[in-house]
Amino acid sequence: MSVVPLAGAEQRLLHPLVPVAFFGLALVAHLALWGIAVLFPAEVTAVGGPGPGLAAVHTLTLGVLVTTALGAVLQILPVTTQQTAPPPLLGWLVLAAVGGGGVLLVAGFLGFLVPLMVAGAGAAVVGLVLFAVLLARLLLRARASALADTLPAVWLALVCLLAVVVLGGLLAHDYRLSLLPDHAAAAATHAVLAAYGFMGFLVVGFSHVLVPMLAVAEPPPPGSGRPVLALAALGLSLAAGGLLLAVPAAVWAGMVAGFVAALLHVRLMLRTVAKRMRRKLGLSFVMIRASWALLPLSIVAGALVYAGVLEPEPFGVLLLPGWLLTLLLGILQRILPFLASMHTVRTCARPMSANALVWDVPLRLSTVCHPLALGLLLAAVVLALPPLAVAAGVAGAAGAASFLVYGITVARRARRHRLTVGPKGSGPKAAPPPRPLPVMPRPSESHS
Amino acid sequence: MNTFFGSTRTGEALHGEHQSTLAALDGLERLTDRSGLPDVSDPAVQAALEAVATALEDDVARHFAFEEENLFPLIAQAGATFMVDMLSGEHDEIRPLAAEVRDGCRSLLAGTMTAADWRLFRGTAQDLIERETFHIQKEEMGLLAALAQILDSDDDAILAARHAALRG
Repeated sequence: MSVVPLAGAEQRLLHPLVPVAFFGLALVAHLALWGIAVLFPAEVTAVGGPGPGLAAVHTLTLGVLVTTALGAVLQILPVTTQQTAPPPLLGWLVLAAVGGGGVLLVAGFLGFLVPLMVAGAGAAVVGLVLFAVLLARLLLRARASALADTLPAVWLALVCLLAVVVLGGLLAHDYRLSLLPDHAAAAATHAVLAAYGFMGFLVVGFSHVLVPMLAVAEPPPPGSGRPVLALAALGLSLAAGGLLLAVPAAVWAGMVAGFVAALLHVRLMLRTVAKRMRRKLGLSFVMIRASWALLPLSIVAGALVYAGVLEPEPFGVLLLPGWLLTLLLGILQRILPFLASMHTVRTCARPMSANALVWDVPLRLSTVCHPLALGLLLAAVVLALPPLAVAAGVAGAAGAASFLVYGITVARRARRHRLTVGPKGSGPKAAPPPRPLPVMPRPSESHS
Repeated sequence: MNTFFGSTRTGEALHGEHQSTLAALDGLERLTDRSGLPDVSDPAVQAALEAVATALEDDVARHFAFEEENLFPLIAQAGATFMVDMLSGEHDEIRPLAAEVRDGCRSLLAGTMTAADWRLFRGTAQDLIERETFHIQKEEMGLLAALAQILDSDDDAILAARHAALRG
């Protein structure tokens, strides 16, 4: 059993505006992503760049996925490892650099403007390096905590992030300086390390904490995720190295190891959820379960692309708006009210539970629109029919707008609650003194 | 869950109550999955409703009071005021819902619930199930682990005896 420091829980929460800003930017970028699909349907259904296609990809990756991951990690890791959260100023700096850099990068891709791309990539690199430093500090301080699977996974994510940052900077500069011998191979390696490496290891690591919490289930036994991590790290090293150095045997071996790791991870999650306290899992698990199917499917699609029997676009759809975005929407819809509820404990005279902050109408709409958009986009790229990408964009934008409304509702309800009950310390309720335990006689029996 | 979240006699007693509450709530959820009024002449339905009403009366009302009077002050004194505030706030939200659902169960058993009442009851019951399940998980992960840290074996025995006395 791990020892839980009882005092100081308040200091493990970031200032509420920091996660609000990270998640808010991600939800706006989510809407922008589908807007790009509506405006540039032909370009978003074709791989390559610069152009609107790469703009859409980076709106999703940097704007939605990475921004959410950074905000979530900076908040959840201090809570789960019982440490003081990073100072708000550093959170703001990370957000400004990554978010601002992302906007410049996307604008550069959209307008074919190399200086903007370089400036955007540079700012994002600075923000991600700062985040990496904060993350390393949190991880070093968390060595004693009992997160046997989460911590090594986050360390692996950190290593991948550094590789992604180096490759991303080189790729941006390569548009003007021709630094790289094979731009396409470096781009493919960058994509694999970012999606399966940085995001993938975060997903595996935090799934050991978040999935049992959200499913109301017993966590997997400590260490049960280690085989997944070992296989995934091996597979990713082989695949990334093989792609970069043009060694097909290594790429194939990497994909096989990654596929087995994905199956083992999904099996562990299914077993965890099977031991839940409540039968009904709710809307979030519609998305989370769909993402568990999309993860191995995306690796199969990647193998088919590498074998030359499938175009790369369906693989990209299954990987990014498929596996990662679907999972993120499932997790985020539960995390937002949970965090807001914890802040009401810290700041309000009376706390408000997460359930009371939820308005499920926009969630239902989002749960219909996102899979619809995903299906339409997949059909658009498989059939090479840009009008279907427009339809996907419309459905996706409707879902994204719904999710944004949901997020705003959570924040508004928490704020309204604080205005209603007043700030912490203003309420009439005071903790009663402990009821004294009798000193004598003591029961003689020993406890079990 | 006891092996993971720590073991004290008091914690084990609370854990047992959590399990029986969850079992009753599962029965309630199976009933409220149906859109129409359940057949209260069915002995299985009657048993499920009785179990829910009893669980809400005993495991919620008495369980909450025991925690608030005996455990929360000790845990707050040990520094975990955040945990105490959070769990107490959830108790305050769950209590009226639990009372409403308990009364609904009694009304169903007495055959006085209308179809319109049933629609309202289902919504309240599902809200209660959601909140109470999540609350129990927080107690299993936080409260039980905290008890293992702050109670020595003698205090634990006294509190377990006090808890057993309340159960009658």
